[in-house]
Amino acid sequence: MKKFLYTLYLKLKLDFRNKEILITFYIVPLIFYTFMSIVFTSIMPETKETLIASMSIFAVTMGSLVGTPGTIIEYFKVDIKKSFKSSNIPLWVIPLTSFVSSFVNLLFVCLIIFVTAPIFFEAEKPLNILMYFSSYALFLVATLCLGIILGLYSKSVSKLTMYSQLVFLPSMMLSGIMFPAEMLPSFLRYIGLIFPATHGMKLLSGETVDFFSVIFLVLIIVISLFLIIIKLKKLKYENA
Amino acid sequence: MNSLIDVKNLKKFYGTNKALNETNFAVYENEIFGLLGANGAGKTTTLECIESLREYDGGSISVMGLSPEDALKKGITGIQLQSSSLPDLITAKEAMKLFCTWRGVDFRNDLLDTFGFKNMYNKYYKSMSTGQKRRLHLALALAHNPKILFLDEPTAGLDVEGRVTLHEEIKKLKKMGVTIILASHDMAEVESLCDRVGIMVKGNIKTFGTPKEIALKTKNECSILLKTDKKIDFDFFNFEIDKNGYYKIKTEKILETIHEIINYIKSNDAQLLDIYLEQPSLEQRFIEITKEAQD
Repeated sequence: MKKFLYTLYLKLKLDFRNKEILITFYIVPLIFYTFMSIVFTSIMPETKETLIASMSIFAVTMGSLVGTPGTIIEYFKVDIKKSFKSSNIPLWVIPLTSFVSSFVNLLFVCLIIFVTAPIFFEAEKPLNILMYFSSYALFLVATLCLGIILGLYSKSVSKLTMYSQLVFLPSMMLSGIMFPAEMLPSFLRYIGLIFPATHGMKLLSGETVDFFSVIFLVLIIVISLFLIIIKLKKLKYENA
Repeated sequence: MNSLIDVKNLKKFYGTNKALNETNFAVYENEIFGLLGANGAGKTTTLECIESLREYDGGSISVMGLSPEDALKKGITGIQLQSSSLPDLITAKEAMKLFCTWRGVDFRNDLLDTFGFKNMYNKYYKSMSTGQKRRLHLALALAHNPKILFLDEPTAGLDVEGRVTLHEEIKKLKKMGVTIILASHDMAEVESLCDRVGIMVKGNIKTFGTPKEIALKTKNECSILLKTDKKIDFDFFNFEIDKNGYYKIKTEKILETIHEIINYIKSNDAQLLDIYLEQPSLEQRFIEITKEAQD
């Protein structure tokens, strides 16, 4: 446990120094939040009801699908992976510490939005805060798992960028965070259902629990864990 | 002598390509054993199989009676890889602490000091020179005081000063009782460091011995190279003139031939300007073995 905790502490420190993490976890989501909040609340005042949820979902999707995989792929480059293996550091430590570090950072961003949105943009706070944060945690875990899979399975940074955008952009357009999903043609609404952001939006902005979305996110987590374990077992001897 | 590592009939395939073809060798306690070979000969694959970083397809490997995986887990082996890296933003001190933590030993600032990081504990990995990175990886490989150390091309990419320093450290480690397996294609390095050498060609070790023993197996005879102040006809010797104007006389009887040469020069009223002996080298034997394998 001491070994893992030190590695986690070190990972948090390294992420704190990392400019890419700063940009993808903090700067871009918070600039986007500020800018979009000004625009949305002035042209569509009803967005104040879902502002906290939609901006938190943007931050999580951006951080998990663009930021986290980048740090994973850096560690799983052959040479760093080999250095760790040659010193008997198990490979599972890398995705697990990345997961925890990203979780902490993105939870912090969410708290910034949660606290500031009502003050600066008159955003409505969720009625049930416990339910809101439970849903947020579930959505965050599911999206982070997806991000770790992207980082583990992508063979190069350029391919990772492409795969990340293939998930990130439709998540933004079809999940209902930019405009209500009901405005989309029905086939696009159905396509939107394969992205965690759509279910995150339903859970975070809804007044009652959407069980279909909960099951969908839990399913993503279970499948992701399975794929992560398979990949880590394979990586033990792959490319030494 | 006790063998610490026994490799028997080791086989490794990459697809249909046979990388290791029933390789056999043993490494004895407190020796520096060199694996010499051209690029692609199978040195790194052999090392990585023994290090437990790569699966092998046949044969057996014993590291002090254990499997390579158990030897790595128990901290018997320390590994400096041919190409290794660390996260860009980790410092030398953090890297050492991380590796010591996972090896279950106290922080080794002594190793950082020894390998030239005394005033650079907080230097980021990305700001280190190639030599500093190599030295840091060697320090990390030694964090848990391994009994056996693997060095794969340890001085590749280093400048002369870096090479000399690293060679000195390797010699010190041997004096401290560490058994070292070194893979290299640098003849001078192997000749100066290794007690025994195995020359690897196409996934197999073709010959073993001390660098001197291997060199003496060369088909080339010794050559006496000499320069005189005027042209002399050395017809009765088997001679040729090299590009620097030196007479090159091949012989098996060195002393006798030198004596004859000096007398002959005197009888021709000439002066000897320079003379030296060229003995068979490890490099010559290595080239011969590689050529034989290609034929």
